[in-house]
Amino acid sequence: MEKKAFPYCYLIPSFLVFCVFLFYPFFKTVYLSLYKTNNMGEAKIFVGLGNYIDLLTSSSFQNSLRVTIIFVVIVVFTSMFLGLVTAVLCNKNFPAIRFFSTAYAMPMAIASSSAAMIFNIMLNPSVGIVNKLLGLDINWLNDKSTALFCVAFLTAWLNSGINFLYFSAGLGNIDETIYERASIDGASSVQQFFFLTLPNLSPILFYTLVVNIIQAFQSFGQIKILTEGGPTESTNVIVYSIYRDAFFNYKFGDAAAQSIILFIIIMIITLIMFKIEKKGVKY
Amino acid sequence: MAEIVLKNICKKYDNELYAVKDVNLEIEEKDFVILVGPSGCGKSTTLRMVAGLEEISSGELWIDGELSNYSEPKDRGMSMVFQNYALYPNMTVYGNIAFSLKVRKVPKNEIDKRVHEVAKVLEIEHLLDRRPNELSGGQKQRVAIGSAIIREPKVLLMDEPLSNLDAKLRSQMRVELAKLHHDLGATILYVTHDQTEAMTLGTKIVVMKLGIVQQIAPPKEIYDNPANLFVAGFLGSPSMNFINAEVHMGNDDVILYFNRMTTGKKFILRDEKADIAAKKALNKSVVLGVRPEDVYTYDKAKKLGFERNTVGMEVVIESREMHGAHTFLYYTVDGKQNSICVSHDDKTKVGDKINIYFDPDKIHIFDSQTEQNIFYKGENN
Repeated sequence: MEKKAFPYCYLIPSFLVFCVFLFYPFFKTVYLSLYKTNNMGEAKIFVGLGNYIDLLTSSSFQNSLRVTIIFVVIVVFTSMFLGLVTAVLCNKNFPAIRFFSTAYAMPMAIASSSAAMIFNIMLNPSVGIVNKLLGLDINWLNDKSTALFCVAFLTAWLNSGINFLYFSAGLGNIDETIYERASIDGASSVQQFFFLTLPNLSPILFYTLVVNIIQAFQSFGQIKILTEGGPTESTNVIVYSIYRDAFFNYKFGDAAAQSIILFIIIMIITLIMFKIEKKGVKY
Repeated sequence: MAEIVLKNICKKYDNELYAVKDVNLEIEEKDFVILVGPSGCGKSTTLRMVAGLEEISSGELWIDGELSNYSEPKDRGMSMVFQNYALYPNMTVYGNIAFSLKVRKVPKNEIDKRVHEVAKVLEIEHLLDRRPNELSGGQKQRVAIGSAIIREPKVLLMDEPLSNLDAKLRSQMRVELAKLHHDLGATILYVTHDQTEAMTLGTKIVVMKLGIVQQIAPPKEIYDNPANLFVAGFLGSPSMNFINAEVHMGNDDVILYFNRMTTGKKFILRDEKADIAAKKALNKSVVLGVRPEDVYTYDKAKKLGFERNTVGMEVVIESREMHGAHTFLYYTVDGKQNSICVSHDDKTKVGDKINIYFDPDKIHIFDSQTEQNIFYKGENN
């Protein structure tokens, strides 16, 4: 008996950490989402699924969902595209390769808030370099039609650094001689990319896709700094909406319900992705 | 007409070192040319230059009468089998074999027909739906060869294709490669460091050392008439016996004295070889080279009538190796391990002292300084 129990003791430290920082907050959130709360965040009135029903019928939350989906799609595609292109470019040996590799991986090392500050200045309508270079006069972050794209693009750039690393590692794992054989077999470099590089990267591509989607759903800092959900809720992604409901409006119950919905969305997407993986990733 | 001609082909790296220097080679239709040499001798580099995977630093590469130094690998009409097979891991065996036709936009039904033909020849029809990681080494090898021959290339390039296989499979594939060469009538340029492969497969062998071609000749020619000490020692298993000696005249005979004349060990040359040695190497130090099968025990030497030519070569047998039909006995002379080939029923034991006799018609003499074979009769013999 003692022998059987002993191994479990080793699990206690990490289990405690998980309990304090993961399991307790999670169940507390589920609990809160079923209540109306007071300003201190204490559960007061049990409403059952009332918070969820309110949310799903509110136009503000529907807008948040729509904005979030657009945001995630732009961020995931752009950041993966940037990461893949830069990784393919840096997969050749040429002078100053280290400089370029560092440059492309750099966004990974930049805090989202500081990057947001820099973008804030760059996108400033009167003194920002973007308008100066393009000769335009657009109020990028205060215009409903451009704000979401600006925030999404910044996020994509920030995420592209780690994607560059993933893809570089993936490309490094592809046997160099298959390209030699392909060039003798008569494949052009475009054919080599589509017939060899992409399929051989598919396990990494898939992994990166899942991580990127989850990461994109959780983006917060840059939105907080650049747009605070505005103008007119055009960048009010779910995570920001949660923050606002909880810490401005003190509607902890609502915020908790939104968290749970976000959790369910991410879980469903991840499950679907893993189902697809079995078909899509080839070897 | 020669299909491929290499003229003074060189490969030089940034540090001014030649990886390959002045290779001249003509590959004719249906030739099975073997580039052979120890690691780092430049044989793979030469092959890769022919394939177009390495830039040619200087010299000319002519393919079918066209200067092709700068043509793209895909335009050279060649296909290649790599040492690690280089199969596309994401494709099935079918996809791998079909790839070179697919990228050339050959119609689908034509591809299908050809893939099945090739698969049949190589006996891999049942594997067409598998992926490379589900294949054994020998199967991968066949798929790689199938992918290479499906395009019916002008020249098939092979870079140590058998070196990743185990010994038994290797000898089996060797036989099949020879058959394939015969059946397809393909021209093959083949790189190996294995002298058995070179001797058994090649119609022409190119021996290389440190980037320089040592000799180009058919297998038998290269075995019987090696140009220099390196070629003589590299081809043949066990390797040729080498014994240091000096050439002197004595009683009208041309004599090789072993161990500085004092021990009385000597070898009396005869006929044409004596004349040549007298002319080219008199009073010089040389290396006597003789293959294990040209070394005899007293009985056989007496029967063949040259027991008088070798004097005082008494050796102690240190080990004995059964090779089926033959047995090799090993002994040491001048600190170098040498061997003698005897029949399998020979009774000599380890530790026995025997006298050995060299066949005076089969010996080679190499100049100690230049390492050239003084009997070597030149390229076109």
